[in-house]
Amino acid sequence: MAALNSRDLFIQGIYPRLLSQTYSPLDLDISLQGTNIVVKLVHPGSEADIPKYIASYRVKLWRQGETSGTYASDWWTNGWDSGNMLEVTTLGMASFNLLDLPNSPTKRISADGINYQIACKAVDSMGTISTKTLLGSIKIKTISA
Amino acid sequence: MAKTIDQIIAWLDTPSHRKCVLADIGYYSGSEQTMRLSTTAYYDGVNEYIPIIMGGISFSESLSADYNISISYGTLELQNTGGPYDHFLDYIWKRRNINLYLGDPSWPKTDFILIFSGLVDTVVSSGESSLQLTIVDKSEQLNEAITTRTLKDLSNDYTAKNTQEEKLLPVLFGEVFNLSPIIVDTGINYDTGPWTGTIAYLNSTTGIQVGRTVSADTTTVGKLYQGTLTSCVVNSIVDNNTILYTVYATGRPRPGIITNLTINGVLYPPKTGKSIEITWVKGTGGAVYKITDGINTPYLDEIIEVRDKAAPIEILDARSPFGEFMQKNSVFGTVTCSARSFPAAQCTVPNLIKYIVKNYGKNKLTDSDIDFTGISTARASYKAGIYVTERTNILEVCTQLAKSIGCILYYAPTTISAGTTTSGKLKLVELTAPITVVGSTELNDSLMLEGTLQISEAFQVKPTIKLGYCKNYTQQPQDLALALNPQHGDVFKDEYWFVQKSDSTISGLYNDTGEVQEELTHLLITAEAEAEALKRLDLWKTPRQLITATYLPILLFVQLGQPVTIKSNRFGLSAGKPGIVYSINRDWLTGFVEIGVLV
Repeated sequence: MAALNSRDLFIQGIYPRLLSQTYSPLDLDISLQGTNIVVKLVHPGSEADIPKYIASYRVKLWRQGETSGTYASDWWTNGWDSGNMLEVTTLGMASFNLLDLPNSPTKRISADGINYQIACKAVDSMGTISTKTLLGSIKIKTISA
Repeated sequence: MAKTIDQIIAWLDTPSHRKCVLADIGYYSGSEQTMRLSTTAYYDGVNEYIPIIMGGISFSESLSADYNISISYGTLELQNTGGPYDHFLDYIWKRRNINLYLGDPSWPKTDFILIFSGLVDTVVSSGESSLQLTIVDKSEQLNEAITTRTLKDLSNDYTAKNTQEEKLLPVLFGEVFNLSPIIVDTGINYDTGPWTGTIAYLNSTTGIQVGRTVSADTTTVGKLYQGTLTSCVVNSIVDNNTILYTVYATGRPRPGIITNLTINGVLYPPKTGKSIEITWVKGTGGAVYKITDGINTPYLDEIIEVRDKAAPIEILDARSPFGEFMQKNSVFGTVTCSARSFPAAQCTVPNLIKYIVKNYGKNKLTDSDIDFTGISTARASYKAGIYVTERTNILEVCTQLAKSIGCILYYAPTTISAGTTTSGKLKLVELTAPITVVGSTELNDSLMLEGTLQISEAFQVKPTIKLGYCKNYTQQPQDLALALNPQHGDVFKDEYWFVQKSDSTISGLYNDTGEVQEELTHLLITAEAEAEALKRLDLWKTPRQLITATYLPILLFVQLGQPVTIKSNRFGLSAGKPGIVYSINRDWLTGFVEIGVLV
């Protein structure tokens, strides 16, 4: 909001106001282990190197259907689709049991492959969620005979 | 019609003139009345004046180098030999109006000129033969607390009311940085509803049906909710003594005890020996913080930012008409915010002072009592803000604001208008380095009482001016949010930001030690604080003196802050020096006036 006073004008010029707003893991390591999609957060160092102001990471899974590749835009704020979405809060690894999703109308797995999108955001110790989202995806298909 | 100033001066210069001072004084004795006193016997055609004023008709007014308010004062000496007026001591005089007029006893009263318009302070007696009536200017009527409202003055909507009743409700004027709002509703019970609640200890629930409206008895319904009721219906019947209800309202339901319940016109009394108890389930609203109490609507123009441990956070609802905001999520530390009470353009110092004196206190001023036109255009536009959290005097708040732009608040005993005098007005006098003003009044030896010229004060030279501005109303030296960007630096730690302006040449010449007295202001903007510091440096880097002399009646009507030229054979004034009128002591009986000029 527009301020007159010089202090508010000064701090309004600081970006980011919170370092947590742009913080995220370096990468996502996504794999299938049994019926679980396991997402490991790759940090520059060890878990101990995560800044103290980061309280946790929220990882969302979205069963998109028979598509390919990582979704082009940030879908974090898309409406919650309880039939195709799961969410886990973690500091290092998120595990999504596909059996927690119904098998219809979209199959959990298919011959052409079901694409699962992953999105991850950081949450700081104030409960502020980062503006930056790390996106990834994994496609799971049956092994043909 | 009152004589003009020029006519009065000409009259005072007439050797045979006879002076008469009339005093119309308000007092209370069973009712508000007017006392009429004079220096010589006088009858105005309706009222007779009692000629007991012996003297003391002189008033002192002065500016102040530290920008504190100037209060003019004086004492009327009343003849009371033998005690015929001892009953004056029984009257109530405090803060009653007094108007003094000067003229010739042969004139009708309408020809007299107003020489003082102020208030009576007290009447005392220092001896058996006289009474003294102390008079002050009208700034005295602003000498009271700006607010005394506390949490207990809020409606029952606020849950914090019962636990912190004596806490003063803060008031915001203008814009301030990082204030600490007070929490007025600690619960999570503010919501849009609907709410469900329980009504227990009914004698019987027989006949009550689900869906029936609880709305017949306004006394009862009034205790079921706060705000505007949309509907209140029976939700379910638990047992023979208890029902559940749902209330739809803009506000919230209220727990408590009632004596009877009416549903659809049927009275349902309580169980024998019990009272009907109403409870309700809290909603999912948020804690409510009050930024400002007040009398303007809305109370707030803008909430600039709300912070938790200095980190910006979102709020649930601004609630500006109540000077509040609602915070839904749990907070981690100190909640602060920056806010503004008026639109930015209205946050000027003169406007803030005007708003305060017109709206606060028992004796509110009106536009006709205020004249802030005498200050520079720049200072009239400077923005400021002040946050009152403790019991503070109106004069104190206004003085602090006036000081911020290098001005002195002053209630003139009279104002010159259309060549004559009218009632005094609240004024701002700007203290600046004197400059030559074409056509300014000249104070020279021919107008001076011989031998009265003196340097009555020499002001300290200031080679450096350090001004504090943009006050941080909540200092947070530690425990800030961990994720806060380090670029914030000490912005939440320091109480004031400072600007400093120096003249190194002057500093060297005066062997300045470098110690600078900080001058604190309520300015907000760096550029404006710098300009104000430069103005003060320009004034005080030169040796300034107060030169005082007693002058002839022709100068009786000079005004504080008026630019003049002072000329004399002494003290290096032979070529004339520009100055401003800094002090005045008028003796209306002799007609002489002592004028102090800052040069």
